[in-house]
Amino acid sequence: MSVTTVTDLPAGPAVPAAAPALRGRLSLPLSLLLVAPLVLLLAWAFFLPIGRLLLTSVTEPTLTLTNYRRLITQPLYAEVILRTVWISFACTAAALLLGYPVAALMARPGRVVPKIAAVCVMVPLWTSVLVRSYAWIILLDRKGVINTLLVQSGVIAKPLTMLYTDGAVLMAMTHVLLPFMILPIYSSLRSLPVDLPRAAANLGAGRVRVFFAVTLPLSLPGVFAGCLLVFVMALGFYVTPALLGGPQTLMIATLIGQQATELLDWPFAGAISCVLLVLSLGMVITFKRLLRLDRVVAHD
Amino acid sequence: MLRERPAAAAARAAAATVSGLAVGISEVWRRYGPVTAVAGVSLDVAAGEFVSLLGPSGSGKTTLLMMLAGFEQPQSGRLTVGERDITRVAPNKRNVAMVFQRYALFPHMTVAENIAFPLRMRRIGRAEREARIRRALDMVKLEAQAGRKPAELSGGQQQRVALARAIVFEPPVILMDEPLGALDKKLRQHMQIELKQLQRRLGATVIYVTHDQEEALTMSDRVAVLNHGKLVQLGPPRALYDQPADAFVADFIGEMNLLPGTVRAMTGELCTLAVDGGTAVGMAASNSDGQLASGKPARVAVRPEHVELVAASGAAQDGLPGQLAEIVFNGATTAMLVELAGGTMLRADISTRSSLAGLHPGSPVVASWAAGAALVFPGAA
Amino acid sequence: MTLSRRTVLLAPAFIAATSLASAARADELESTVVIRTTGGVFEAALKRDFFEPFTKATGVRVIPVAASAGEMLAKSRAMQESGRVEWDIISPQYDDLPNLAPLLMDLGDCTSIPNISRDGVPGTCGRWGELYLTGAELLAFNPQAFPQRKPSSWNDFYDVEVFPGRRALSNTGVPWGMLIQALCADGVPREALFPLDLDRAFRKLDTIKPHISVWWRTGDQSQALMRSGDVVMQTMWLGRAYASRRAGVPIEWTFNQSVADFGAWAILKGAPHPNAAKAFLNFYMENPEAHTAFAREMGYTTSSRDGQALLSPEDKEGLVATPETFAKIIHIDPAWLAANRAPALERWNRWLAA
Repeated sequence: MSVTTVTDLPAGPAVPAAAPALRGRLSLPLSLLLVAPLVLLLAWAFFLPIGRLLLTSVTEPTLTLTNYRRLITQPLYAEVILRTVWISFACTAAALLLGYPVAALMARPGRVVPKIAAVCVMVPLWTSVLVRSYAWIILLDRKGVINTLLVQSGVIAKPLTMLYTDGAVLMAMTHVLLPFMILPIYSSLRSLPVDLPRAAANLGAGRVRVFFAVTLPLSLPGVFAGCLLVFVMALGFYVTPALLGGPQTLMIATLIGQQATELLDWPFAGAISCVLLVLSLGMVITFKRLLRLDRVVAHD
Repeated sequence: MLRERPAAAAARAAAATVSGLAVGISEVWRRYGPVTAVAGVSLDVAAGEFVSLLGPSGSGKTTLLMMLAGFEQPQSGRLTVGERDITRVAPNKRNVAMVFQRYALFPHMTVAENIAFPLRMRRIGRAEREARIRRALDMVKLEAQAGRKPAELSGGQQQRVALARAIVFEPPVILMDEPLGALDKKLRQHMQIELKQLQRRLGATVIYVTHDQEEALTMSDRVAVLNHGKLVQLGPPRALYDQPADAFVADFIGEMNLLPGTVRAMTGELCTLAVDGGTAVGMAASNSDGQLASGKPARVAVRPEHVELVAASGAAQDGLPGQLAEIVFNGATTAMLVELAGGTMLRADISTRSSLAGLHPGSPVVASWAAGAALVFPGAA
Repeated sequence: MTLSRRTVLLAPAFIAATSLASAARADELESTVVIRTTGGVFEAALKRDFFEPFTKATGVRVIPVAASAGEMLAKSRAMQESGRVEWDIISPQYDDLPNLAPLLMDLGDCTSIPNISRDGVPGTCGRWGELYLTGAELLAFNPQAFPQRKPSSWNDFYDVEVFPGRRALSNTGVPWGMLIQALCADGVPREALFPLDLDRAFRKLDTIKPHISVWWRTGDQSQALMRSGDVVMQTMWLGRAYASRRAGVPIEWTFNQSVADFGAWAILKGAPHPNAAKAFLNFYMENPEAHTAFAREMGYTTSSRDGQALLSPEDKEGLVATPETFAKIIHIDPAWLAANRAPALERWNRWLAA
């Protein structure tokens, strides 16, 4: 360097290796004030009606557990709950398998490809579930786009039955819920320093091993969050199974709707809702526990 | 002047005959659109050698390192490790270790698991693996922390884990990307010494990227100075310090006064210049071939420790007249800042013990130096 | 602003005055009446043939509110429970009226709606409501698929040897028609249908289940199945079958063993505009030509005797417009339904999903 000035002293304290992110802190009263509108809205529009519905499930016609006894003794409900859990599980698994690569694509460095992928993920979110479900009807119908193509190209002789099957529901639900899997995974992949997979490759790991040893474990918080979102949302799905499902695809939300509107049996609808709620909360707690285990892993 | 080049060549040849060539970089180019990041760099590193890639940000040093690691691809040119051409080899097949600036420790693995990672990838048996991990941990003095997660370690400890992870599989070459950059100054100096000792003990070949010239001079056997993607000068630290190839290196390495002036006369290699109302002398730089002629602009480079100051006597004196602007006590030496007649600042480092009594800010002084202590580079700044 | 400040200020006083007046004169008409419809083309036809003429005749504005059958019942009940009834007239299943009695205004023998006795078909006065339209859930088929012998009963639908081809039943959460059809197919005479023998009905349904290609969920879908030739016969609502025929789709149907799909106008207990609501029920039976136009377009005949008389012989044949057809239609026993709705539906759900 040329002539040094007096101030050219050793650089000030270097940034500590793992500088904790600056997290804004608000005072407790201010925080409470800020969340108050949401809490009030939730209390009035969500907890109050839910609470009342659940209450009727044990107080009508008199203080009783009849409604719950019926849930247990009538095999229909256990079967439907089991099927609902199964479909939700399959849907979650499918969304994970399909969504992870998309999230990985979106998290790649570069401009064009990740942007296109992001748009492809976000646009369906802005379209109503109803519209997307009808789109599937157009695709999967016996006289629909796919069958027409397959028959005309000579791949199959007779049109396939795809609509009104479990497969159609699974496919459409996965499609509708996919963004809720992709976005959390994308977010956790984005926060993964690019050096880590590079370091793994440098130390001798091929692409597959880099993924399983480093990328995947470090994106688990996003995977868990995505699975939780998709699973819980799938449990309560109503429109898609109703539109695309066959007679076998009876899900718990359909039963609740039937009790509430066809049979006007609100206490019993409340009892089934309670089961759905407990199921969802159980999932949330289980996943939270998994996440807590994972906190040790978190790269902060 | 050809003093530096044969010396470097001899050192290289000697190293090469002892343990062979470790890394070869030949005519490597990399462009990003209109920007040329690496422009035809060639560089050979001998086994056991510690070579620094030094340069300001954007000089191409990191790109070059990333190409050696396999995370970037050269558009043309050739990279070799030993006899093996690795130009198109996947990063995981290069067997070249890398220490990252931010360590890149796997946060979900313990220290021991981090160090075990490259051994597992090489399917090294359990017993051998354990032994090597123990040795590596011992070498970086982290036996007690084997079971901890990286987040529970201090910055220096994390740095050592990264080092242990890089040496444990005994790679022929270790690449380091400003590995001490994230540490505070004191720890950095400590780690510099530790790192150097470790390298000597292992006889490891190290290619070390840094923008800190002091660090490069302290640790390296040879330093490669890069600027705008070009290799500007390659040589031992002392050669770079004493015989900078051009004004950029002169300015970049160590403290240097670079004074613009006009050539007055050339006598062989000896050049006399008019600088700021006075006369300065120096030897023509080795690559100035004929560009220094009377009346041409030039710069004279002189280290502060070579500048001599005397109080102005009133009589005509050889040298550069000026006024003492400031005196900065630096411990063993004292920096005297002189404002020359034309306004240019000049720094002289005087031994504190012999520091000139009676001089104080405002005193008129004359600065001069031995012709052999200064270099003259052609062209204006 | 067409409302002046003074009008706004005076409005409460005016409302108070009119309510005082209505207290004095119980039969004075309110200015609006809220009627639930199913929306879509049905609502458009109702507007043209009945709502707008009613407004012209009485000055009472009709506010139609679209709701599905389920929403209608759920909301009616919710309104009743919260004590804030906002609708006046709903349109439930005629056969279900006794079961909905707690929600509905008791019209007694309908003396307050004089036009019913003047022009109504027998049974138009349903005590808790007024018969409004008459349709049926019936066996519809593609005549081109059966050139030799056409199916004429549910026995034929269940006979896959003599009448081969893809078939559809419905999956709308309302299985009563299909239970009755199954028992008819199994040879139960119509007088002996109720109480429904569910074991027997499901045993019969078991035999046809493997041959059902589609379980349609909406009326639109049932029309699409006939249009595309996807099925050769199915259970169908008369209005949908009739609409398919009007659209040129090859389709025929039989009223043999068909199940009533009768709609009623019913006034909610505590309706905000009871006088206007009763006036609408009376006006509904006023003009036979409107009924004829409505029936031709929608495929549902109405409760107007004179209106039915005006239909062409061909329409009379295809619609519920003759005493003979009327007599063929099977009605669900409301008492049985009230007692068995939930368990029967549970069993149906389970059978269907198995």
